[in-house]
Amino acid sequence: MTSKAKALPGVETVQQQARTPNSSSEYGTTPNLKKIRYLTEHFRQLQGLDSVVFGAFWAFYELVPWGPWVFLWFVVLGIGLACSRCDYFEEYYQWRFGWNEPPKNRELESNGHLVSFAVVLALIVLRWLGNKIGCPELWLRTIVLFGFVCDLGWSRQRFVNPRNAYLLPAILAVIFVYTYPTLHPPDSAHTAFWKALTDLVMPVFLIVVGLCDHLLLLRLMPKRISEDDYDG
Amino acid sequence: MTDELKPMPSPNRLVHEPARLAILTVLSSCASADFVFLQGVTGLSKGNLSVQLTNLETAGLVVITKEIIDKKMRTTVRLTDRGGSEIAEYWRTMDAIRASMKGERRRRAPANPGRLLPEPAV
Repeated sequence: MTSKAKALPGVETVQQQARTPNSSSEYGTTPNLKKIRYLTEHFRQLQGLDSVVFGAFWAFYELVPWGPWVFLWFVVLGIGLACSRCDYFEEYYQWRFGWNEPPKNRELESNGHLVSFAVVLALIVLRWLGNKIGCPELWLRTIVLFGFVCDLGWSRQRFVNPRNAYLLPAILAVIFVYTYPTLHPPDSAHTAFWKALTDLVMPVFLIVVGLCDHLLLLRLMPKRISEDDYDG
Repeated sequence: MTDELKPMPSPNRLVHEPARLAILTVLSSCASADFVFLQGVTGLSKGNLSVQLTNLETAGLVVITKEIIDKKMRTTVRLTDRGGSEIAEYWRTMDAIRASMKGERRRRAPANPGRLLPEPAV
């Protein structure tokens, strides 16, 4: 603004009103393009509430012993799956943050979360089958971890990916909990503790990672779009 | 013409404007996005975003599609082929500018390093 413009009484007020504090670009500064690109590319991965619900149902399933009510628990688990994958969360995220379509050549990368989810579902089925055919559980759990490692590996910007801050420690924690009792078998006093820990570590992992994903999305995209604004 | 008088490559003004650059960055990272997503990611106000999208559509860089889904209007924006090539060309130009500035700084630095020191306080 020139000194002549400053001297005019109305100009300053109009300019201040025009500079609403909702955009860095509206201030004339460079927008954070790295953040914008990251958010656009990882939008699907950051929608973590479905993992939280699924993890909670899985924890419920693990806490209840297998028995004659096993069919009931499968029904409960099925409801959990339906709740976590039904349109409710998709609609919520669409209403809250909008919608984008991933590029054709990167649909699998964008849907890595879904692939991981499918792997977790496979674990449940394989565990049930494993009880029948004597398949070692450690091998089945490795499949789940493999799914998440793939999810991590699909991120192109993995070295600056903020998800790594919680996803890597969480994966390492799960690996530790699974491998430690195998390498150092616990004594009888701690057997029950380690069994509960190994049973619950994956559901807790899903809940924690899902919550962290959602919080990261809120942090990167804090503005709430009101219903009135949704008119295109 | 000497090296010092070589003209700098100039970026496309239409793409270089921060709000439009943010919009094009979003659209170059996905196949398409709706108005709400663009508004949330770029942080632009509704009016500003609408104006910038109209400018980009007039220039032929984006395609705006309006459709009614569940009794609600959804505005979807997609980058055109020309828009994709323009944003790629913009980044190439910026890289060239950065490279030429780096070269210029390296060329001038050893000549008078004392000039980089702060002026003594009086």
